[in-house]
Amino acid sequence: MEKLILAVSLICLLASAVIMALVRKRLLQYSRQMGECLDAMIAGSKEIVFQEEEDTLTGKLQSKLHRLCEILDQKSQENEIQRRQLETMVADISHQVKTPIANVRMYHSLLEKKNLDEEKRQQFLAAAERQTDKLEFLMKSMIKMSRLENGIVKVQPKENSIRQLLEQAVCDVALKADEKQIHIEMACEDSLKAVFDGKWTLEAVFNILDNAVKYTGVGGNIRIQAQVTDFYVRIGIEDDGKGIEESRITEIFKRFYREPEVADQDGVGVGLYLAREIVMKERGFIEVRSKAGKGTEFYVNLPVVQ
Amino acid sequence: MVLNNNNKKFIKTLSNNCLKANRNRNIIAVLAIILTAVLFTALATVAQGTMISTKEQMFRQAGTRYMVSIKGLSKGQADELVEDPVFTETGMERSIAIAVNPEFKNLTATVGWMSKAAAENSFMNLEKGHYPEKDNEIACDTVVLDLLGLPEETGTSFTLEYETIEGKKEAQMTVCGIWKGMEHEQRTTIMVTDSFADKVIGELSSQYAESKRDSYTVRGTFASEKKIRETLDSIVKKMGYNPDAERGEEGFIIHHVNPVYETKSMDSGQTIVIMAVGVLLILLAGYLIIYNIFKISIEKDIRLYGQLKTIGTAPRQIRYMVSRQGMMLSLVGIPAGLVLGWLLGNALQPLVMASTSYSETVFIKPNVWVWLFAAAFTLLTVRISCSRPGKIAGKISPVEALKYHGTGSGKKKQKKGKDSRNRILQMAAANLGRSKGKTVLVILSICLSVILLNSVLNFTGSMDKETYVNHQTAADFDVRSDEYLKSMTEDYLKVIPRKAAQELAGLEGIKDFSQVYVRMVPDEENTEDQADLAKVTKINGEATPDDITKFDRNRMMYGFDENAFMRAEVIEGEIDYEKLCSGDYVVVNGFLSDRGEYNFDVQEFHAGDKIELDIQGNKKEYTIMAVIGTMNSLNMSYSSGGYESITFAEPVFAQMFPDSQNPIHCLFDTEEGYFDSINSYMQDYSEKNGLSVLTRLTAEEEFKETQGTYNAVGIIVSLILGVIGVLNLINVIFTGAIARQREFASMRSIGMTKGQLRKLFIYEGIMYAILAGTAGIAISAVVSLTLVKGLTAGWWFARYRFAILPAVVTALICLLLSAAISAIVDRLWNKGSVVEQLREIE
Amino acid sequence: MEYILETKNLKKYYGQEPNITRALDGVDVQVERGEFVSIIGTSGSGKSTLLNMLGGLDIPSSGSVKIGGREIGKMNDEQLTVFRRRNIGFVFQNYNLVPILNVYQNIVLPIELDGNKVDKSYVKEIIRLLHLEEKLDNLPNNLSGGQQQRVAIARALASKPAIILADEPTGNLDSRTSLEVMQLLKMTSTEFSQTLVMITHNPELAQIADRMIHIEDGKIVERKENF
Repeated sequence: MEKLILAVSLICLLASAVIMALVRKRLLQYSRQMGECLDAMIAGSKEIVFQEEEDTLTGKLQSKLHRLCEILDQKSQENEIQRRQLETMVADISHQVKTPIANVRMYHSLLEKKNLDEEKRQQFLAAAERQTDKLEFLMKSMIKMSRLENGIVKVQPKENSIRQLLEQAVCDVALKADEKQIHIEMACEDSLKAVFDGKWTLEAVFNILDNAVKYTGVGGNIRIQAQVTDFYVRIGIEDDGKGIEESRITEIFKRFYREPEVADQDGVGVGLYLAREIVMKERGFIEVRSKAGKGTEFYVNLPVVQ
Repeated sequence: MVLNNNNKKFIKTLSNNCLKANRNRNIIAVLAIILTAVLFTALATVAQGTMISTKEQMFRQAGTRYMVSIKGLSKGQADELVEDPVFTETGMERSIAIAVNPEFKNLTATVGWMSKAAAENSFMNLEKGHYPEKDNEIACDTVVLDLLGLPEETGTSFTLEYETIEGKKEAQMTVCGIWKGMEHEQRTTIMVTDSFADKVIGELSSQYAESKRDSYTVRGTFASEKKIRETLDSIVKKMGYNPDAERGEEGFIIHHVNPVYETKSMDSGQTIVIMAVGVLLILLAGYLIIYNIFKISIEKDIRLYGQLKTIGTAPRQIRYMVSRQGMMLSLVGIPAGLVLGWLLGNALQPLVMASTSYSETVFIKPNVWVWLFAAAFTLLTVRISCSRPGKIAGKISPVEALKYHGTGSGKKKQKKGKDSRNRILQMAAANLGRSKGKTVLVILSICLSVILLNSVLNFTGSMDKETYVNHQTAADFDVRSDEYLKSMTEDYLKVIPRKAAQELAGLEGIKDFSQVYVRMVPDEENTEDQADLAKVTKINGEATPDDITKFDRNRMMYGFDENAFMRAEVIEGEIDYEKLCSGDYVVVNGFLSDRGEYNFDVQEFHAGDKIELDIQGNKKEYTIMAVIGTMNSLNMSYSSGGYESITFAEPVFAQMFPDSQNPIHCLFDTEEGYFDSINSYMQDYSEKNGLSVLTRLTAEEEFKETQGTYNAVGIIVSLILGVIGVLNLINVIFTGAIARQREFASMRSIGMTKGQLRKLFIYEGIMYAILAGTAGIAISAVVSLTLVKGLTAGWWFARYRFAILPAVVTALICLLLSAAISAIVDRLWNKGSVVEQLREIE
Repeated sequence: MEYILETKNLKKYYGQEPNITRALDGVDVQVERGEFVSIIGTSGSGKSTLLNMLGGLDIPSSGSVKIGGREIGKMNDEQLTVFRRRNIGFVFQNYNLVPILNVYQNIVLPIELDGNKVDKSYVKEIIRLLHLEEKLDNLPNNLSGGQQQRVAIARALASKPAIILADEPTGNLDSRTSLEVMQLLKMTSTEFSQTLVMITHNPELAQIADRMIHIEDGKIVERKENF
């Protein structure tokens, strides 16, 4: 009997030793594979073979590593793009700033002339002021843009009333609209709410509304309405202005883009760009529909309250 | 294994949900698993039961469960031996006398002492009271009490008469313990205390006391059943005796191995083969049906598996999912199957035992190993059955699965023809033709059961009662000892006490009373194949060749009275009983086949030959008067046909062998109108006297029983096949309905009415049945004309008759069943609006 | 620059001469990592076949498909399935939701299949964005087409796969919801640097993508750079 027990326990011992050895072998293999993979990643090799097709723990982890690798890659590429964007922005800004400054300088030198009659002088002063205003506006926009893009200012969406937002925006634009005798109509339920950052969204909606007023003729109409759809609250801003050529629709959101026909109007072409950036940061989006000559419809989609 | 992905958890969820979604499939599958488990358990239970029953009865006949016994020991030797660690169990006993109360005339009742363990291992388990503690107490069995006319209660007293080596003595004893005795048992023990035994021996004169003192027997069991003989011999050697010594030689001691252990290995090989065949058959049957169920279910769910694969479920995971479903269903099916199978096994047990020589059965208790065996094999069956469907499911190409909408659906645009009934019939036929393999499988499984049933009933129906009865009994009554058929009893004990035979001869209303005697001696006196019982030394003056010289177990010496000769069939010569009685003539047996044919050339001795017999040293020449053919009822149980036995006339036999005065057969017929009364009298009489009676009626009953056993086994097997067939049918109709839901819904949307759809279903079911039925009947007829005919030709009590009715009836039952199944399936499935049905599918 | 999806002279023929169908007849497509590409074409133009090829669901007659630099023709069935599970999220035209799993189980299926821990907050966010919170315990059969579509999208997003292949992902939604769902898809895919390839026959939706591939009669006809 004792012999039997001894034999059985010996066999068990042997078996467990063998199993341990096997397990260790597998573990070594596992860590070697993982290690090779990591080494290749550290070395920045592009030729790493991930075992993504094996239904093993190694395979699973390596496929995650692969994803991580890709995402990091992607991030660094994005950073590169951003850096380049920043460069072009600096170039853009310097370009945009050049004209007003040159203008101001020109008016300044004009004003310096002694034999200037009062009327002309007033004219030049006003023009210089306009240029300064423009400069200021430009600077403000730049600051906003850079803050927004560099994440200095965080867009903080929370539950807000849509009506308040729209009323505020209409208020801000009312003076300008009155000047052009543009009729603004608004349909929005009091209780309508969405998730957005009050201050920044106001900026976005104002920019769109401001554009509408800008490109709508005297005595035109602007209709603002808001309604809930499946996932968003959809704010529509429709005007019966001059509209946008279809080919340019995708262009209008680009930074410093200005419609060729409206070059005389003041503006720097950052309004819509900003608006889109803001709304995207709020997990919303803007759509545009337009027919040249008939008018434009902007839709700001803000995430609905869940 | 160490680094396998840890993603089994959700596959479990998936497989659980898959189970939930396939309720109907589950029911059928569980039924199939239950069936498989039932079959396995029943098989194992019957095997176990047969083993237990056989062994138990062999033990009973041997009188003890112990492996070995060593007899004639002194107390000291016995005490020492009992403690020997080589035994796992031991018992001690001693017998001192024979009880000789007149009531025990047909019973050998030994008076002796036994240790408690020995008593319990010798089937002497007390039902009442206790084993003897005081010298005037005895314990005995109910049979002894019955014979003494005492109530089956402790505390009663009686006078025990016993005979020691020095003559009869008496003692007043009180019954203190009772165990259940076996009817017709010829030996029993009356148990007394060890000190009573000492007292009895103490009373003997010193010359006998010496020998009687060493009357202890030690019985014991070893740990292993292997090498029993060797172990026993080594013990004997250790005790200082010579295990190879013969009686009377130096160093002799009586030591036996329980015959049960010596015969054990003989039939185990055969049993294993039967078991293996059974296991394989059941495995195959289970596989066929479970495989079919899973395969159909996977074809139905092909889209699901395709979807899963698209999303990234690896084939291995799908295989696991499928096999897990099987395992889960087994979890439900196997326990139920085990219990049912166990019950079925117990129900079948008597039937199976009826075909062996051990008629008594024990109720089989659940046995862990049997259940484990059945469960393991059922699981194995399920595993095997699931593995291929799992592979099929794993191999589904995602793109094909996305497009898959059932085989060929959409291709068959069903128009509403002029004759819509005909149209539906065609559609049903076309549906059957869609998956020929499946259809053939279903038809085959039903067909098989039809054929088997018809063949079995045809065969048993061809059994001929007259032939059987005439062969089995040569007279209305054949009286024998009830030990007659027991293989464990020594032959010389298988006789009718002379007194009983004389009583029978004096019965009123009987005629042609005949007696048959056989020369038999106790085994102990026998050496080597009964060779010196008698020898045929010369034939017609020439020395006989060695191979026909000797007498053995089959070739024996009989003594017939006149009437007995009348009952034998004379083949050669003529019998003159007067002349035979002179002692110069003998009759020899010739071999008759079961059909009564006689082969003259094979016969060694013929009428008119002169042979010289050497009977226990006395040589004498005899003339062969005749050659006779004898029935079983004129022979020894195992000596069918006689094997050229030598038969003497009764007086010659009696004179020659004074110690063989008890006949083995008493045969007699009855006068007109006496049969019933004598029959009932004989039942009673034989019971009391430990005889067994074979009457015409018992022979008829035996015939019916034989027929019944074959019928039962045949019917059970065909029933099982039938159940498999029907389950397959249900399965095919059911799954067909589920798989074609979309098709049906679209058919209904183009104007097929519910009624027409029902008809389509029922036609389909009926078509299966008709195909199976016709095939079954046709093949049955062929089988009957060839196989059954051949089988009956070789069967001695069968006369071939053509039969096809069972096949026709079963085919009709199948027809009804399939129509019913189809109707039910239709009721279950064909409901709700078209829109609901179409929605269901998505 | 290594492409995340790349086919070379990809051909897929069905049937045999003379009744041969050239579903794809020599297609070369390259998709950059993080790109959003829409495939546009009439029905029967082979766009679904192309998508199936890109996802390793179908075996090309000739040509090669590389996913993430790996030649998928060299993988066996098991490997391909595992590879697909880890790298590709599908949104099918007919949703292909697993009917025996409820909505939540369907969504987390690809994650669970790989034995990963479900990123609960992320999945919850997707569910919230797609308005499925109240349907989580329902079986797909009890949902409307639009709801099922959203579940399918949620499932494709849940495991954050490197590539999302979508076949008419908004086919059963009205144009409004389609647009919104597309925006959602785009948004999340940018967030996790996912590559998005989408089939559509709706030019308006196609325009949301960075790039459009036109396919006709199994061939790429023109490439029009948006933006």
